[in-house]
Parts: sequence; structure tokens; C-alpha cells
Amino acid sequence: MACTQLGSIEGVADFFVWPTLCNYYFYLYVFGAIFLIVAWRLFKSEEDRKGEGEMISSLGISAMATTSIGVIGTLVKNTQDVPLIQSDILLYMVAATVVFVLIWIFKD
Amino acid sequence: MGDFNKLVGKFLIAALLISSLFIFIVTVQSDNESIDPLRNQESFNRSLESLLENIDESTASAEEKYGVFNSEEPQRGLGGINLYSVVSVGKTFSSIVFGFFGTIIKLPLIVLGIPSTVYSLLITWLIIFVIAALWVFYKYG
Repeated sequence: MACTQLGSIEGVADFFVWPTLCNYYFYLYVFGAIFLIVAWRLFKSEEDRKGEGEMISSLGISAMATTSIGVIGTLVKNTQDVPLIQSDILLYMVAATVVFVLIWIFKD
Repeated sequence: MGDFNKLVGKFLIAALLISSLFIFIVTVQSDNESIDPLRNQESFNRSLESLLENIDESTASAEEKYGVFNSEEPQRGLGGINLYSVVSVGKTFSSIVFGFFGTIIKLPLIVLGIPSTVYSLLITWLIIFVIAALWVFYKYG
């Protein structure tokens, strides 16, 4: 996977996959950021509704949601058949999700 | 400490959530002909297969223990009735707990490189918890 020039991008899928060609872990960072933002939003909305939020359950739910969206990323591919998210990146996300779900279920 | 029913319930919910996620990933990727499916990763494949195997085994042993419980004639004991099938139910479900834990935790241990000492600490805590919970379960039902 060589990092190509922006000029050689032919379509929308090429554009989205281009960061992966330049930095293999780019979408891992992106999804990590999405995970933290979703968890924080969930925590805040629960805090507003109930008066106190549960960070651990927000992290568990956010991890499951982010991984589910990440699966769609493995289906997007560019003209050279390079997927947006490689399977080993998704595997990292799945493993982290398993940890967060376990902590969430066994928190008390 | 000591609620065995809750512990087994929590393990079953965790197994249900994680197996649902795994099956969702496999189904979506195979239906949409993903070029790099997660099933190609050996650690994921092994985890999924052993999780499904564990669920099948636990269903079979739960049904078997229900049969044993149903067929037992209750005996009058001191201050109540004695049901010996409860002991075998406890033993079977404690092995289900350890089976699920071993299966579920394997993937993050391998992929995220969590040190084996963490696993040892968790399994020690779980053994002590299960023994205490089983004792309470046998004593008070």
C-alpha cells in the first residue's frame, strides 16, 4: 500500500481510503475519537436525565456502536481493492469492545 | 459477594452480547462479500467457534440438569427439604462460568497483548467469588 498523490484519486471511495494508504492506523484513531465523543455524549445525556451518569456503561455502549459502524468501513474499498478498515484494525476494535462490555456487565 | 444466580446471569448476558457482535460482523461481511473479512483472522475465528461451542454445551447441560432436578424426589431434612440435584447444578454452572470467561477473555489477551498476570489475577478472583457464591447458594438456595 503506497501513499498516492491526491491527484490520482478517481472516486469517492478512493478519497476515503486514501488516508489508510498514507497511515495504516488512520481510521483506528478516527474511530477511537468517535468512540470517546459518543461515550461522552451518552454520559452527559444520562447525567442530564437522571442527575448522575454511568461512564462505564456509556463506554460499553459506545464501543459496541463504534465497532458496528467500523464493520461498514471494512466493506468500503478503493479501485485497487484496498478496504477503508483492514481486518486487523477491526480486530483491535473488537478486542477493545470485548473488554469494555465485560467491565460494563461486571461493574457491580 | 455470594449471588451465584446473578453471576451466571451476567456471564450469559456478556456471552450473548459478544456472540451477537461477532455474528453480526461475520454475517454483514459475508453477505456483502468483504475483501478482507474478519474470519480470516485466526484468533477471531477460534474465539467465535469456541464461544458458539460453549453456548451449545451450556444449553445442553442446563437442560440435562433441569431433567435431574425434575426427577429427584425431595427428602425431608432438618428444618426443610434436601435436594441433592442443586449441588450438581452448582458444579455444572460454575464450570460454565469458567468456560465462558476463558473463551471471552482470550481474544483481548492475544490481540491487545494484555499480560498473563492480569488473566491470572482475574481467574483467582473469579475462583474465590464462585466458591463463596456456591457456598451461599447451597446454604440458602
